[in-house]
Amino acid sequence: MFERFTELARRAVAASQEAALAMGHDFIGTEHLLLGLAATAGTAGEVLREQGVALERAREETERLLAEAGVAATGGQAAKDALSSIGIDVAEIQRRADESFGPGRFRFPRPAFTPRAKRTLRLTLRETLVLGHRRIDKEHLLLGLLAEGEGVAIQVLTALGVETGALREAVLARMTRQAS
Amino acid sequence: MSAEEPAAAALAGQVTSKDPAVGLQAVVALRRLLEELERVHVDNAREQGWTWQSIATALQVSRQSVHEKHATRRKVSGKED
Repeated sequence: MFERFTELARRAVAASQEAALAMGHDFIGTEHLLLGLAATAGTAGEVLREQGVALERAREETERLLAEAGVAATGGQAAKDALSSIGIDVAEIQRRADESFGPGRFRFPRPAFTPRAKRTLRLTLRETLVLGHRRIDKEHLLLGLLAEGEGVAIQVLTALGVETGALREAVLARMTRQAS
Repeated sequence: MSAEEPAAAALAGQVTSKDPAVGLQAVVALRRLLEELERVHVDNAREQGWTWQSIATALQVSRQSVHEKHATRRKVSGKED
């Protein structure tokens, strides 16, 4: 599916992973996809900003909501501790991997998509097909997030006072205008 | 030596911990570590010019499964045409 993504849509997904890592989360949830979109150039990010989703505020709300929900922001320390309990030293593996392959190549734990984020990606593909488009762009990803409808991303939007129906209309209107 | 013994004993105790939560959590973390190591080493092999077939042979899996798992990812991240 990612092979159908446009360059900017790929960058948005990469930015989601960066957002997760920067906040010390070992997963990529809908909230990180939203942050990735807000951080990436192009129409989806512009529409988000117009609707009141500024990157900084969205990040703060995300951190607040996840902290409230008791989600660990420890960079996967639990997984490292679990490996340490069976005698595996992740720090040492990291050191050797950085030495052999350069920093950043080995990442543990690499953030993985949550079930909701996976569902969002499936819905993103569906939104793309329904619109009769071939490539999957950032705007489709935003529509996919809104269609998923229940992730932390929606809670962040609600906390920022964004009405999801209006956001969906705004994205679609902008896409139609650009296509004509 | 006396300082190391308790640490070793503690470690052995954890490896054989009877608490399923501890053991299972280690299994999950190990699976994630395995996936990450595979990714790093497949990337390295491709950069050194290995074919998908030779990587598959070394990993003792089919060419198709290694290709499905890694080729698209590498293309998407711009590491491969």
